[in-house]
Amino acid sequence: MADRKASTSRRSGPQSARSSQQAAAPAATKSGFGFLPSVGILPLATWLLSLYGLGASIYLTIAHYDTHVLLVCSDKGVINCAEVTTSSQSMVFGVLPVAVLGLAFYVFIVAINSPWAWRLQRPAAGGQLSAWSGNLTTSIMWARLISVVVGMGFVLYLIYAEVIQIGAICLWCTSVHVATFLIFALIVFDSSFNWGKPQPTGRG
Amino acid sequence: MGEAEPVERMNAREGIGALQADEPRVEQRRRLVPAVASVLVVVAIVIALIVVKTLGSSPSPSAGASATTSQASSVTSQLTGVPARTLDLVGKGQTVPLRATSGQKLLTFGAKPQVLYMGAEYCPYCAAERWAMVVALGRFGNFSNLQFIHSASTDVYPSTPTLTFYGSGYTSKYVAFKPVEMYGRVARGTSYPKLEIPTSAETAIMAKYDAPPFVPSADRGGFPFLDIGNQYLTVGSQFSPGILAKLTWSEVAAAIRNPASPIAKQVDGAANSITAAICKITKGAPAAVCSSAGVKAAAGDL
Repeated sequence: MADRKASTSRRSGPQSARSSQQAAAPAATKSGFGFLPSVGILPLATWLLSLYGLGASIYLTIAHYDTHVLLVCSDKGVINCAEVTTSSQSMVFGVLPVAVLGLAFYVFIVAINSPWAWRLQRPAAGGQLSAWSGNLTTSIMWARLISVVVGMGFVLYLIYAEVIQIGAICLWCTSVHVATFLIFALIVFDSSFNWGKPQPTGRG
Repeated sequence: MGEAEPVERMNAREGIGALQADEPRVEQRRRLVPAVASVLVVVAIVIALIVVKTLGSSPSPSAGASATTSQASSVTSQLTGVPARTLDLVGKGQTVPLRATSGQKLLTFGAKPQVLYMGAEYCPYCAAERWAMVVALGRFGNFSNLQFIHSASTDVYPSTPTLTFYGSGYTSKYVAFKPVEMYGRVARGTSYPKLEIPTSAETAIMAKYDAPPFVPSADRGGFPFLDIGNQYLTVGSQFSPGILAKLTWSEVAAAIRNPASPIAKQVDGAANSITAAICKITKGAPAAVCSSAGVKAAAGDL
């Protein structure tokens, strides 16, 4: 028992800080693009998915406001984008288009999943966090986790609206839902693995 | 015994070492649980929704006879593809014209002007008006999943052949169409079952426009209520449901395509009237429809 306590305390010590830094930042992989900080595969994947979600949201928003822009999508049968995007469920409280809500969500998600935001949270190997940036790290983790959980909840409502209430599926909306789900899964896994693990702390 | 003790100590140390080596793996498994659970919960909810939709009853008219899917598809095609020449020959026909409001803000949904219909499946006047509405709206977009039914057998003009907008879809690049079938067609006791509940905005529109000064006080709150962008209204059908009595859906559809038939003069005349009103709120789009002779003739009565 005493040995187990000892081992626990060792995990929290400097030795474990080093190992957690390695675990938290498989960061050492290069992004391959000079202007991007290298942050690892998972953060990069969340950002690319976020960029896709943002692009699709922009397209859906344009199609909502510009009647000359038609979604490239079937308009017959179960796969029917227009039926979904012109349904009463396409407006929140009858005033706010879901497409605009999605756009706002993805603007935030792209920012918080950007390599720069991840880098704030996970300094490169050897980097150190000051006390204030430690708080920032926690804030970013929480904001990212809460936003994807809320986003996933809203996506579940939209799937309910499509499948049960409208009886039609919008492919473009579904592609955004899938992107949101993948981001949700990645963030939840990342948070589960890294939550509470000591970050490298600065002393100066 | 003396030699056994160091062996036991060694085994104990090895055991602790193994425990320490295993701990990260145990820790990883422990951390994996909430993540996997969260993802599984999401997947389970989506699967449950699909299963509920698949096993549950799809929106369809309640009890009573309705057309088979192939019949419905055939009749829908006939209705939404009434030849332009037929509609032009009928012109304004023999129908009650729509009422124009004046100085009212255009009703829109998103960026499109909106057509709002509020009615009930039991209602024979709604039964009549829907034929004209489908012919008219079919010129601006596409309907899906229309079901063919009869109005209530216990009301006036019993069992008038018609279709229902309940569970249907409509897409158009020019206009948004929002139908609300508020009640079913088979009475339960002394009332009809509720089908769709209008939104508060729709209720407010009906309260305002389905009442004087926009309609005679005798028609206040009547069905069907057809609001074309808050610019043109009709309460009640534009022709008598009696002309459709005892006909099958296919017979009605065939008659609508024959410009010489009395049914075409009424249904197509009403359709041209509705089309002309929709053209006003779409600012003449699409030109091919709005500049047709039949629509121009009907526009004179608006």
